[in-house]
Parts: sequence; C-alpha cells; structure tokens
Amino acid sequence: MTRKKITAALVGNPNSGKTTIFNNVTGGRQHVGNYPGVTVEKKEGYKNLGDKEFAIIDLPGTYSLTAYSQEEVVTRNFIVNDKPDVVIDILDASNLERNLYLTIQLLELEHPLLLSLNMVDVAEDLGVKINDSKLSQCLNGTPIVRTIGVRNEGTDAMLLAAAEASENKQSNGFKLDYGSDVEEAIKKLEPLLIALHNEIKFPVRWLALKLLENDANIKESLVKLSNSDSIINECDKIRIELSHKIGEDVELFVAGQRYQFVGKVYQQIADVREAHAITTSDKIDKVLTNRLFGLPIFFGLMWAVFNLVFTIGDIPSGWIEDAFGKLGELIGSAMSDGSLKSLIVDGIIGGVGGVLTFVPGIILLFFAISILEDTGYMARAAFIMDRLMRKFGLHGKSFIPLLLGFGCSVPAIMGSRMLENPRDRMITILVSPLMSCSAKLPVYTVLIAAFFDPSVAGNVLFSIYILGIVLLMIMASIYRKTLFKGESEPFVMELPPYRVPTLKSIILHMWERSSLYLKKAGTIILAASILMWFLTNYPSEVEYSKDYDALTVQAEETYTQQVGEDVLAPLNIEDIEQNEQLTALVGEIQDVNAEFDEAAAELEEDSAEYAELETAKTEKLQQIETDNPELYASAAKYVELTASLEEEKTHLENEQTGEKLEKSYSGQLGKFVEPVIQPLGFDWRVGVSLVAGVTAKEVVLSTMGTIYSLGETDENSKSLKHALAQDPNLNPLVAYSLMVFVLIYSPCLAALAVMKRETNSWKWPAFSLVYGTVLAWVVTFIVYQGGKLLGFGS
Amino acid sequence: MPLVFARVGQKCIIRKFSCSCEIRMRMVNMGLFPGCPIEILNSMNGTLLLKVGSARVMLEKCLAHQIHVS
Repeated sequence: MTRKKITAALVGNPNSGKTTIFNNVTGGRQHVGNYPGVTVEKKEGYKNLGDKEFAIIDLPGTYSLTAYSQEEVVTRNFIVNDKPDVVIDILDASNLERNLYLTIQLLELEHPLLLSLNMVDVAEDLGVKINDSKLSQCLNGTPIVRTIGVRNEGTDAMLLAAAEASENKQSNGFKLDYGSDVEEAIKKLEPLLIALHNEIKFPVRWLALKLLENDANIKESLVKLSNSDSIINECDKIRIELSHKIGEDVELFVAGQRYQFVGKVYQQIADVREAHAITTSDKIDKVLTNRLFGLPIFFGLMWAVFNLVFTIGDIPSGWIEDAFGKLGELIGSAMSDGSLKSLIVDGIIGGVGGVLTFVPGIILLFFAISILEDTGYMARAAFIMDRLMRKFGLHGKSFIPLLLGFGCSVPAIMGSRMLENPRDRMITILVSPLMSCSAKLPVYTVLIAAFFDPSVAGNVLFSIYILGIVLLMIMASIYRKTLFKGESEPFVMELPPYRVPTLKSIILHMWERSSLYLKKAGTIILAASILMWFLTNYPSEVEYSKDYDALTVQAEETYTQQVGEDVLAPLNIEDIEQNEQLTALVGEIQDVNAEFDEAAAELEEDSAEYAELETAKTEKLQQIETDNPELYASAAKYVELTASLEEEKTHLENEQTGEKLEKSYSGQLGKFVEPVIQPLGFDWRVGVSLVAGVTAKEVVLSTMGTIYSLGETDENSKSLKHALAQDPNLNPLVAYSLMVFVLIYSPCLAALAVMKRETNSWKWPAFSLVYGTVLAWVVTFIVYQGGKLLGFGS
Repeated sequence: MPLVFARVGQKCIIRKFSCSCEIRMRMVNMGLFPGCPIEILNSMNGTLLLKVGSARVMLEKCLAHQIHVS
C-alpha cells in the first residue's frame, strides 16, 4: 500500500508539552540532527496512520517569531522555506494567553495551521475551562483539537485533523488590525515588497510588519539582495515616522497590540471558576529555591548524582572491561600472529574497549540529568547558581555543562548548547576541559600511589581537582575580559511547573545524548586507536642494541645445561618425566607457588597479610619436604630454575618491546618534544605518553606501561607503580608536575571533535589545543621550577 | 517605581521598560509586556520569582531595576 505522505511541523512554547507529544506519537522512530549552521537540534520522527504516513518535525520551543534567538529564526525559516504540509501549534491550555501570542504570529505566516489544545486536564485543575469552538471562531475558523500529551490521548485525532487541515492550501485570511497608523505604514510598504516576493518567501504583509519592527534577520537577508538599498532606506524612513507618530518603538507597540487582542479573545473563551493563586509547584519552590536551604539542597543532590554515577556505573564498567578482554583473547587465539592480529587486538579492541568502559557512567550521568531536567529542577539549579557563576564571567546555566565535565568533556561541550548567548556558550566550551574528567583520574591515582605517602594521597588528589577549578575560574574571567567582551546575558527564564517525569521520556532523553556520544566519540576513538597503534608499532624493522633472539636462545641453553647438571645427572635420568615421583613433586610445588602468587597479587609486600601468606606457603613447602625427603631438593631446584628462565625471557621480551617503542615513530616523536618539556622535568618517555594522551587521557597510562617494558598495564598495576618509583628521572615533584600537565593540556581528540561540531569551525578546537598546551606548560613550569627552588626536587 | 522595590507577595502592573531592546523583547515574548499584571512570589538575593499569568518567571536583579511597575 502506498501511503500519502504528510509533513507536519510541531510548534509551541517551551514546556507546552510539545516534545512529550512528539515522543509519544513517533516512539523510537526518530532522527536527531542539527539545523545547518546553528546548534539547534533538529528532530524528525515518523508515524503511519491509516492510509497516511506522517513525517513529524519537532521544531524548537519558542515564545515568539522575532529574531532574538536561534530557535525563533529556525522555526520561522523552516515553516517558510521547507513548507511543511501543515503546522501544528501545541498550546498549553493552562497558560493559554501567552501561548496564543505565538499562535497569532503563526497565523500571520499564512500557512495551514492546526491548534492542539494540550494539557486541558491541568487547566481544569486550575479551574479554567476553554471553549474551543469559540476560540476557533475568533481565529477565522482555525481548526482545534484537544490532547493530553502525557497520556497520549487525542494524538491520533490530532494527526487526522492535521491531514485535513493540510488540504487547505489557502490561508484562512486571518488579519490582526494593528490600528490605523501601523496599517497605513504597512500599506505604504507592501507595494515595495511585492517585487521581492520571489526571492524572499515570507508573506508580504508579514514582511512589512517585520521591517517595521526592525527585525535584524530579515533586514540582513534584504541587504543581500541586489537593488534593495532604496527599499531599505524607504522602510527605515517609514518606520521612524511611524514610531514618532505612536510615541514608542514599533516593535513594542505591535507586541502590545497582539497581547491586547489575545487578552480580549481569552476573556471570551475562558471560563475561570476559581483561581488557585498558589499551586503545589509554588509550595515546592518555597523550599527548593529558599534563600537558606536552596544551595545546601542543590549540593546534596549533586553529591547524590555523583555517587550514583561512580558507584553504580563502576559495576557494568567492569563487565565491559572483562567482555573486551575476553573478546581480545578469543580473536587473538583464532587468528594467526601478525600485524593484522596486533592491529585488531591491541589497537582496535584495546583502544575502543578502553573508552567504552566509560559509557555506563556517562549513560547514568545523562539519566540523572534527564530526571533533574524533566522534573523541572534543572531550571531552578541554574537560577540558584547564577550569582556565584557570574562572579567568574560565567552564566548560571553554565554550571550544568561544567558539572558534566567531571564525567567527560564531550557531554560537557555538547551540554553548553543550552546557553542562548554565543559568548556565554563559547566561554563555557573553552573552559570545560579544565574540569578533571574521569579519564584523568587513573593517571593521578597511579602517580600518587607511586610517589606519595598514603597519608597525603587524598590531599594531593584533591589539590589537583581544586587547581582545575581555580584555573577554570581564572580563564573564564580572562576570556570574558578579552575574547568575549560584553555583559553576559541577563537572566530571565521561565520555570516550568514541577512534574513527575515519565520513564519513557527520561529514557528517550538519555538515549538521545548517549547515542550522540557513542557515535561521534566512537568513530574518532576508533581512528585514534588505529593511528596510535601504527605510531607505536612502526617502523616494524628496528635495529636493536642487542640480539634479543640470540639472548633468549642463550638463556634456554644455560637452563638446559643447569637442569642437566643439578637435577638430572644426580638422579641418573635424561628427562624429569622419567621419574614420575619427581614430576608429581614439581607439580605440587608449582601449585603452592601459584596459589601464593594469586593470593598475594593485590597486597603490599610489607603488609601483615602478605607475611601471613608467606608463612603459610613456607609451612606447606616444609610439609612437602618432610613427605619426600630424598627428592625434594632436586624438585625445588628444578622449579627455581624454570621460574628464573621464565623471568629472564619475559624481561628480555619487555626490554625488546621497550626498545622497539623507543625507536618507533611515537618514540621519535617523544625524543623530538623532549627539549621542550625538559624544563618541566619530563624526559622523552613522558613525552610519548603525553603525545599519545591527546587521543584520550587514559592513554597516558597505558603508553607508560608499554614504555616501562611492562606489557599491559592498568590503574591497579602494582608493577607500573614500582617501575615509576624506581625511575631515576622521576620524583614526587616531577610526578606532581606531570599530574598538573595532564590536567590542563589539550582536550582529547573526542572533545576537540565535538568542539568543532558545536562551534562549526576548526578554529576553536585548534585554539583550545594550543591554549590548553601553552597554559599547561606555563603552570607546570611554575610548579616544577618553583618546587625545585623550594628544595622539593630531590 | 522600579520592580526591585516591590515586596514579596505584592501584585503590580508593568508600565514600562528602560533596558536595551534585545532583552526587553525577550521579556515581552515571555509574557512580560506593558500592562500585564504580575505578582512577586519569591526573592533570592534580589533575583525575583514572578507569577505572570499562570507561568513562573525568574528575573535577575539588574533587570528588575529596569522594569517600572505600579
């Protein structure tokens, strides 16, 4: 069956329940994108109903169709340029007057329109009854339906009515009389504008009104046309004349006329029985935005959110880590050794898997934030934080993206789109990477464990977090005074009434953001992983300082010889398997050793538990010795020799990997940057790690693991800690400097890519990379050289 | 008088704005137009919570200086 295609655009005030209707109607069948050139989200969904297929566009929430926000311009341009078959105006019945103010402007666009009276239940609870047919009459017969979006009631009927309304290509001729002075001016302008109608698709009367209102966006598009100078001059003349006549700005006068008309209509159609002055929502606000309790409650909630994210998020993170480990092993065993296997296992699975472990935390963070948003609390939080943030040149709403920055800079940068003013948005984007994100944390913990006493570890970590926040405040104030001069947007915001959010909308909300993160960050991290793998593995032919293969063979020969002399010869056998008792004994001793190693792996060598385990092991070995007095010595010798051979071989292998890395492209890169970072106390090894860390901060750690010839390393790695502590180039001061540098320097690739997308140019990510790195150098230089002067550098 | 001087719980009517046209129109679009009745519900360090129609609007102190009410 071929269905008739109908495009319907949803328009309405913020908080009118528009998005709820959109989500309920389209379900999961949505597509989220961006309008070209702006950071306004474009949401499109589909729904089949009878013989019709609806493509539904959720336009951004707007109060009006002026040119004072991106949302308003996007909305009106979409209606005029993309010509949806029908526009559905979602009206909040409980706040009808202001909603109708937008309706009037939509009618003036002369496009097929359907009114959807939403939240009638809420209005009735407030004691307001609306007479729909009367309202339709007042608006020249514009069709009206009733919906209750949260319960998905009336939405099918709404779509069918929309299909019917779309048949009416002719405008219903609604015209608001703005009074003789304005009407006269419109009449003067219209003939001038008819000539332009082919190039600017807006209705002529609407265009005339906008020019009288001095609409910046419309004027701009007029200027672009040829021969428009005389028209613009004439318009200005008429506008100025008119404003003298009416004694105020035309824009304000026109808005006043619209409100007056709406007020009159409202009186005719609304039956207000009992006006509840104070609603439940107001009562909740009395507590949550209270002068005394507001801030403590806010911080309490944030604390709860972070606990949720970090404690619960850790559990699935562990699963993902294990799953990727298993996947790596599985593929590793199925493939033959070679570059392709190395690329897939070490490069792709290792790199992408490492980043995917952050996903549960990020999803949870988005989940919590969606709850805070859907209940209506987020608007209050922005309000509570406004005064504090403003002291540093930021905006109340900046707080939310910066908070996200503790988790990851990617959602933080994406979250900054909630700021309307481009200056506020840019400052927030540029400073948000200064928050200590969760990828930097493992780097700190390993360095702290290696160089600082456990008694001060907490303070050291805390000082790094504080340093980030202090720098953020300083940089924000500097940006406000230099690059982004000008007052930040004064704060005026509608507070939506508190609502119990529906699970569906929270999940959808959460999924929208998480999938954006997954898609964008995922592809970049995949590419970065492949690049890093290449840089650390090539050139593949390296001239080593030693012949590692020969050394391995030599070690094996020595081993065979020693086993022969010390174990086999005295017993008169050629292979230990010839003596069954001996073989069994060797197995027994090895089991005891393996058991001990496993139990003691996580313990400190000087701890009481370790000593306990060691005693237990010695006792067990003594027991075995008393049971087999004649063979024990030989078996023990054999075990010892085998173990030391293994150790020797691993050591050689690691040394070879280390040397290979040193001579690889990334090693050369490290050597190349060494002179620059030497004043900070770093050598080429740190250099490689830092360069690699631009792909993702946690990579700093894994690269160090490779360089210090340890093979695979993670934050729990005791061996990396020991290796770092033994490096003569490193000391507590250098370690602290390194933490400072990791905190500040260039945002990771994923963050840079998102920055590009949000600012629509490569200029800002490039700037951020350079400024971050320079700032990191300067601050680290001060910390390192200052520390040395104070005598900490030994 | 400027809105800043109004007390919590007071009901008044907006008369005129004395601020730049951009932010003024944003307020007008949100329902704060000359002639509209408002009620002050709460005040936190000078930031006001207003009842405008059945909507609740937060307004910064510096803006409250620039709105004249009676």
